[in-house]
Amino acid sequence: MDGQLRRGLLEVCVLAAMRRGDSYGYRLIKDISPYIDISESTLYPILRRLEGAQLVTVYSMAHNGRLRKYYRITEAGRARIASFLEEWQDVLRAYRFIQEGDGSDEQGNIPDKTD
Amino acid sequence: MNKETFLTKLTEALSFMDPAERNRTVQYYREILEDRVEDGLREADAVAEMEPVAEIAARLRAENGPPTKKKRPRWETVLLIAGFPLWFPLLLAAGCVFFALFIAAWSVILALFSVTAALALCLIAGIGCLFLLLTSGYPLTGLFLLGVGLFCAALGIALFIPVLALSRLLIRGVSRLFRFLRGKLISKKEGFA
Repeated sequence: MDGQLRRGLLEVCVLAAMRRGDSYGYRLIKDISPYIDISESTLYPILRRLEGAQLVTVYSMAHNGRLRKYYRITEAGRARIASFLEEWQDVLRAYRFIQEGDGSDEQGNIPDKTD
Repeated sequence: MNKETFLTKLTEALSFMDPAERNRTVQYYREILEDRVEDGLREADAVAEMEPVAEIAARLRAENGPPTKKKRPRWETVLLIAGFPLWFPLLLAAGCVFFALFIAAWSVILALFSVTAALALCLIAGIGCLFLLLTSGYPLTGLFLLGVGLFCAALGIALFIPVLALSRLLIRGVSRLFRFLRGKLISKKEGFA
């Protein structure tokens, strides 16, 4: 997979993994790994970028006698997921065009372009 | 490899990061390891499942991009030049203290080895005394001195290993101090650039 594409996908996957509740590094890797390859050293810069872009916030909480960092998605993070899902329709249309030649779905409809 | 060894190696490999970022990064990996252990893995297995330290460092270095040289504000440069008569003698004094410690450490090592060598050489002296006193008609005294020489030689041989270990400790301590001071000096120099 193209590096840029993979990076973008991973960022949104990480945000999506926090949608239902705050999470932490190890749990994020466990939740995302079944769907896309992600390692600790791939995740860390993603978390830093998301924090820098204020798509997540970070806080520490005591857990079994040690501190653990938790990540919480912000409203901007949720908006990013929504924006990604919308943009993906364009990608799907382009994908069908490349594959079949006309961009139509299984029912023969060509979805509207999102600008 | 245990967790602390892994994290120590990681800390060393991430020397290109600024200290605050490096600590945050190492803390992240510490949490990952501790969570893996909590999940049921043995510590050694948790460490074994991590990427090699060199790969982690390479990936993070690629993410960080080339190190940007921080520009020092003009007033700090002026202060640096104006303060030269103050900070330079202090730096020189610190250097002299370190050098004195270095010489003192090596002197101690040399003295210890000299003592063990001298003790070992007592055997030769004992043998020499024995022959001398045998011919002079004092065999018992000669035997006694041979005995003393043998005892000293045995002591010298027995002390060799502890002296070697102590010397290694001293050398390691001085090297660590030297690396620490060099690290501080270099990080300051990079700030000045």
